[in-house]
Amino acid sequence: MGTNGKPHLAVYKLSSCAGCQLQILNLEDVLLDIAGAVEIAYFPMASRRMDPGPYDIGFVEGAVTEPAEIEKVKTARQQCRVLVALGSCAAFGGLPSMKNRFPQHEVERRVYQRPDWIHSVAARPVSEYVKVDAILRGCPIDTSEFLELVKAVLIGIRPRLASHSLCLECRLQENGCLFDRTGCMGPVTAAGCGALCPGLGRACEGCRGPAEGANLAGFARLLEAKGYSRRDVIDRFQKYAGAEPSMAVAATALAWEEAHA
Amino acid sequence: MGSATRVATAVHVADQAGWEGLIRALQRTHAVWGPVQEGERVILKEITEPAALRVDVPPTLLPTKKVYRAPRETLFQFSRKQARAAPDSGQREAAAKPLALVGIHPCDLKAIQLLDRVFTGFFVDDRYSARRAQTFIIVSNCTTPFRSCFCTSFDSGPFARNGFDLAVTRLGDRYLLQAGSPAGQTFLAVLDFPAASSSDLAELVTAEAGARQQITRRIDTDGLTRLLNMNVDHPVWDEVADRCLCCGACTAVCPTCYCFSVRDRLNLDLETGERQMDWTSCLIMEFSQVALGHNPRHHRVARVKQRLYHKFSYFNDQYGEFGCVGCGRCVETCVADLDPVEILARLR
Repeated sequence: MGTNGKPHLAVYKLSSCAGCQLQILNLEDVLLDIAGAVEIAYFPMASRRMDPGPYDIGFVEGAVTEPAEIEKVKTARQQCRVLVALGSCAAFGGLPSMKNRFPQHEVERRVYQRPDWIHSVAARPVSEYVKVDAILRGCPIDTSEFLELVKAVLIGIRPRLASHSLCLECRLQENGCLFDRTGCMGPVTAAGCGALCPGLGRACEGCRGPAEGANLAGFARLLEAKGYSRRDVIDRFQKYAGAEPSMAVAATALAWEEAHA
Repeated sequence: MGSATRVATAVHVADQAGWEGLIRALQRTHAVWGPVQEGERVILKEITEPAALRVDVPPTLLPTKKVYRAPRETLFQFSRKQARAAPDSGQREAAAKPLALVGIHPCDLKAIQLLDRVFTGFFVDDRYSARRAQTFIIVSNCTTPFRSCFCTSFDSGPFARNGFDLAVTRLGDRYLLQAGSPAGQTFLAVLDFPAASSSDLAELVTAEAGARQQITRRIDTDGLTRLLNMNVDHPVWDEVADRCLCCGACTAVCPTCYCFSVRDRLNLDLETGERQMDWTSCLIMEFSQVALGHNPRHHRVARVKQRLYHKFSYFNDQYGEFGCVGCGRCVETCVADLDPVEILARLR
């Protein structure tokens, strides 16, 4: 709690595109209300002012991909009463975690001319290194979910964030089903985005990670029955949340089966 | 609301212009909702242009339940400190134009009758019953059933028997109209359409028989509840659970699925907010979860069974009828191609 009695908020950045932080700034209409409810104490992307911790609520954006970030995320945990993984990189490893299926030296060689300059480790979610109190899914996050979470923390209740399949949300919006045409990831992906992509005629790519209790094995069989190759299925599973345990297990099992077929 | 018993009335005939005139006449007093084709989708929505209303299209993506209970509704506004709730928004509804549902299929009409038992039976839902009571219904008999239909299993189609104000059957460019309630009779009398000829009437009978014949998909309802209750451990349930993605799409589009959840949405002042109601689904994990995280339907097979047992066993126990009308929406919407007709046949 700050001197003015308002809870202090911090936003940290690890390996990420800053798109989730930008979503917070995109809340233009209510940004002043947020500033009225909390003290934005540490948010380097938004302000030069950087108050020292402790903070009441901290958001960490990005995957952990280098030793320095491991230290940073441990510091963040110590500084924050409530720590939230902001977006799919922080929650699941996100897009950076696509690299995890290749040996680190190969990835480094492919991208950098001087790999000896790089100190990179496998891309992991924040929860790999410290306890996380909540995750906000999405690439990028959904702004109304961000607000739901902030409000819940402020009054000390559990936030209600959707964890069920996107299909339910999508059907309620009366979108035409894209699955047969595109292999849409909606059936196993968590809702909460308002079915943004399917509503615009684009298949879900699974950016919000697996729905709670998603039937990944059944979905993989279904995709293969519809003519998708084993490689396609694994790629889909590993795009945004490959480091998430259920996705990792499913993708590994599929790859193992393929290798031993 | 249509009366429970059919009022024997003459059949009248309208042409396209007459039919559109009928809808226009109804629009003067009612908000007219009906099926509209939008690209590949068929949506139930309020009609502005009578020509847009289609009586010959497959079932709407979302069924009629959405007009009585939107997928998300605000129940009331509240203020925490003052412990005060703003008047129920149902009162505001009452001032709005009454609703007319035009061109709904007989199966959807049957579904409304089932929902009536849920929401206006032992427990009365004021919001539902206020909207429902003033609804004028024009049911559209199906002369060409669609590929997933199995309404004959539950006697909910292809032609409606009761519960409507008017029934329309489209035969080529003619719309055959028949009243099913005093309100329908009055409305039809004002429009003064010519009476159907004897050949029109003969065609009507043939059309119903023809439609009936085309519906070959069937759930054998004979002793079905008992059969289900004897087979809670049948291997078919594990097979279904292996394929079911528990995405909840079937429950969203089901005309008799009525489960909802309630949540409070607080404003940023942390003082005022509103209480909302959302449709939910027994297939999702959260549905059965209780405080401290226990979930009696943690396993997918338990959730899969809950959905089908509710339709074909528990609903019957509670209301004496099956909770399915055979509209086929769940079959059409399921990405895993699961079909209750096939699943229940496995128990025989």
